[in-house]
Amino acid sequence: MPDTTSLLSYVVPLCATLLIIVGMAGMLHKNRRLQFVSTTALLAVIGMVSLYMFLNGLSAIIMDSLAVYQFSMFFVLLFSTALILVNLLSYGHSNDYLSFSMLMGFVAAGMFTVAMAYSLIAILLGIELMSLPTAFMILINGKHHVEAAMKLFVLAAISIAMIAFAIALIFPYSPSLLLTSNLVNSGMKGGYLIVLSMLLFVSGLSFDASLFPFNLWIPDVYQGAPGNITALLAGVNKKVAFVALFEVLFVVMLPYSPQFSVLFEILAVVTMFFGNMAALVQENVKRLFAYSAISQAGYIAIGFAAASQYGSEASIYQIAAHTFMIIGAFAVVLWLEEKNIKDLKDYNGLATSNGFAAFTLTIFMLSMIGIPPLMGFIGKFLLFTSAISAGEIILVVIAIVNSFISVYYYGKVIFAMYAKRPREQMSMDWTVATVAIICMLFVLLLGAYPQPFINAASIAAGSLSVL
Amino acid sequence: MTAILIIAPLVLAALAIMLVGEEHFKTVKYIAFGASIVTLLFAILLYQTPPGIETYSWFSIAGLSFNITTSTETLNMLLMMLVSVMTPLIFLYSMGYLETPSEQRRFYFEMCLFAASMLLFSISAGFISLFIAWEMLGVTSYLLIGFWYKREHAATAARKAITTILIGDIAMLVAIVLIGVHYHSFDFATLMSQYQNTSFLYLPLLLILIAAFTKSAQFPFHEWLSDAMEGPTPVSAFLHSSTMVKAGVFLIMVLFPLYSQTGLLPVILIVGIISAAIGASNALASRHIKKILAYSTIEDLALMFIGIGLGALYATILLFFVQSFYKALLFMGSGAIMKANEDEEDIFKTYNSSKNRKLYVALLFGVLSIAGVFPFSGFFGKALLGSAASSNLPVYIMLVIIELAGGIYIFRWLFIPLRNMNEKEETVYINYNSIPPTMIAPMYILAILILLASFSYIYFPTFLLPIVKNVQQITWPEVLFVNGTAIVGLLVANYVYRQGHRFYMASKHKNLFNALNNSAIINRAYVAIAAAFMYTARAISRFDSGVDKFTYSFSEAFIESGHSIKGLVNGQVNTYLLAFIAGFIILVIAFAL
Repeated sequence: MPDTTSLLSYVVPLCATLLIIVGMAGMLHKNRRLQFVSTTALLAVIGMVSLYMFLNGLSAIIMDSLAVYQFSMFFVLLFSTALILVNLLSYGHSNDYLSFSMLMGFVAAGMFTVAMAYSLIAILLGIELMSLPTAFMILINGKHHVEAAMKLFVLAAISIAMIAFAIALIFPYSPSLLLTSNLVNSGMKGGYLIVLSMLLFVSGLSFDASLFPFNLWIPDVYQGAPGNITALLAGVNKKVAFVALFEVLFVVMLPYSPQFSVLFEILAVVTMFFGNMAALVQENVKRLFAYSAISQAGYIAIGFAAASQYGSEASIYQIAAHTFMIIGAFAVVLWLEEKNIKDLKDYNGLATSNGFAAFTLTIFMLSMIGIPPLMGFIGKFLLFTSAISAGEIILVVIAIVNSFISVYYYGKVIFAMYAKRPREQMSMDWTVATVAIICMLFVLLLGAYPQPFINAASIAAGSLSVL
Repeated sequence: MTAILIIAPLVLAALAIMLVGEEHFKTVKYIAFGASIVTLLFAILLYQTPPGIETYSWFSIAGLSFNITTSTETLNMLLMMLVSVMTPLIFLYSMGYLETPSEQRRFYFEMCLFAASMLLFSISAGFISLFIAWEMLGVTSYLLIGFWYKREHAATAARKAITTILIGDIAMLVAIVLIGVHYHSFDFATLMSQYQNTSFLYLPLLLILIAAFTKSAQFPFHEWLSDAMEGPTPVSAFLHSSTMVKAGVFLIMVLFPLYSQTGLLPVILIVGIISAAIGASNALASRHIKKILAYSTIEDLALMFIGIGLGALYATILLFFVQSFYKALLFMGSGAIMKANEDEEDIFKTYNSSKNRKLYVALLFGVLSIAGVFPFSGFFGKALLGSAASSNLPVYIMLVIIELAGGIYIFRWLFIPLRNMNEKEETVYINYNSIPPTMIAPMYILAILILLASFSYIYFPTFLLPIVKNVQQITWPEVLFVNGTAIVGLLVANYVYRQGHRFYMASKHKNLFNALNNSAIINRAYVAIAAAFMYTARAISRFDSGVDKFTYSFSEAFIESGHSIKGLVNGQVNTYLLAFIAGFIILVIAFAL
């Protein structure tokens, strides 16, 4: 990669650092609105700079640990957009917005570090920086969230330990910890330790990426955490883990692609079945979406099973699609939860009390099912065609069967919402409405006219392969 | 001419209906009706323009281009005209049929989308737009069948329909993905021009066939169609005539060259014969006024599949065309009879259908056409199919038996509601004057169309020239045979259900039976045939319920496994840790092996 270090490439790390500082400053001046405006502005700057660098194809390496190239800029842009949405949601609905904002500074810095990682240490640090503050975020919203926070904390610690061990295992094979350094298969036989290291990486990252069986904490924590944190967990944290998987598997472990292809075939199948089957019998809507998010992770894993550039393009598209679908869905669910509407039976007749909420939720769910021409359909279609190209017919059949199983539980919610029940009107506050509208626009527009976005995804995937 | 704009009026109408307030429930039917008229005019305009294929690029990736392809060629035109003629008639009928104010908006909204998706389907010349339309059809039909979702039967019927249709959707999607990756194109034209590699196409075509069978309600996916009668009658009339069930047959007709290449025609033929037998026998045994017609639709569609299976595309297309009119008329008639009999669905509890002369005359058109009496258009469809089958004796014999049954059950359907009400039986309030003219008028338009459709026998050979190479002629023996079966059906039904409708008594009491002044021998043969039909019908309906139970227990098993997963996620952090570590160890072991 050509080293065309310009001042601009330092903007993202600088702004991420500033985000932490601004977050801490917020604890001193205690002005919620100022805090909101300044964090949003910083995130917007990061987003715009990354968009500029993405469009102009700038590339640079910063201190041998972070890299600016199209893949990283694509995800910095995606994560900053998603964080702006979550920030807005939390501004309206967090009990202690200032603490949230401080912790979000750390989380955001961790996310951008993972997205821009150029060495394995950066990935480890980024994941750590992201996971631990999230547990505290759950905690600041009230004592009754202690259990969820505790679970997240303990399991995150284990997953980080696994990643650290994975890095230690490949160290003997690698002259440095840079992503691009070729693994030299000398000394030990058959590179078995590299495969073991790969398994450790995948297990550790599957914790956040919510692949079975490393995802059993997900439903509890998603349900137990306040809605804005759930949106952050499902919408962004999970995607960061997938980005880390991309960087490890498609760059470092690329010679071992037959192995990780098999691995992800297994993970995709069990995750999809686990998520969809369990979602069938859920009564709590938030928990239902938690399981649905798990099954969606299974679909994203199909792109890894394809282990081709097309597969990674498809996965990148689906990652972005699911980010918008799930943040929008959890925004509406969060608002309803505050009105004490939690279970499926409470959703009866939602359309009469707030037609907008029912409509947006329906759009998000149709997209998750994969109804054309929404974003979820295109993502799934790309994933399926990529897997067929890689010869994974059975995997695709299983995935399609799964996506039709999902019709039942999404359909249950849709039907409940549009059942005729006389109910009093409820008005939605502007933060939830804005988040829902923005997410819905993304889902509709990028579904109806996906070409630019698909091009962006393929540029990102292409730049990853030449890193 | 942008053909895809044909869906615009109905989609806009649906949006408008969604936006108007609940208090304007009276205007929505006019919005829908107006949109359907605009659609019809646009369709006529399209018909005037020269046929062609239009491609709109949606997006492309890795050498795969996803195009929305529309075509206004012969077959597409045929279906598009059928749908756009039928839509205003159905909306007109619905004006009189549906009275509840609170249901108006939802009904017309769903109907507009349903019609629009069928129109999109009809002009699709590529798998992408076809799949979009296919999915929309499934979703909207689910909503419409379950329209009265508060009734338990309607909800289960809708679930049954969507479950069956989803099986087809899965098959369809797998087929599309396979074809797309292999040919790097989703257009039918590309597929047709490069089908040398038939061994590859075998699997996708088989999957498409399964999808077509689910939509067109063929064995073993036929059960949903009779249950779908829980929906409002206009929906049934629409579903059974030009939309939804025709989609499967239509798709196979479009891809016919591929099917004849890959040698899948015998499969189609066998499934068609089985379905026709099931449809005809159940229609004989059923007591539900709409289900008789539903089973008859299964039989009609099966006849079309038999036609495809025999390679007689021309006969199939003609049958496809004429069936729409008489089936829509009969469903509209059944809705009118039900309305006059306090929504009674049991055919043995409906009476005096001849009280409303207008209704009765209209019904006669439909019944004579479906029975295959010359010069009603149904005759031409059946006779052509018979002529095509005459070289294949076993199939021909089956066809004759099925047609005979068809004659019997349709006249049975006509005659039973004709009876005068017995004073001793429970008194039902019957009011044939309550049938509004908006329900009768479309039936008469359809009656005229039935007669006009007879001219298709003369007009179709030139119209279908681009796709049909060998046009059969109706042979003279076939004319006699089709009319003969109709007359035999009439006589049997007349004998059994009108002159002595205590049919079971008649078979028990030989003396009474002999006393009837008909030729004893022929009657005995008729009764034996009828009894044999009844017997097989019951046997098959028992088998049907077996199939039903099987699917039910299958879904039960699914739900059970859901519950056991729920048990696994028990909220214990140490369980999760254990799973975490165990998962890792299992993966390591799996890779070590």
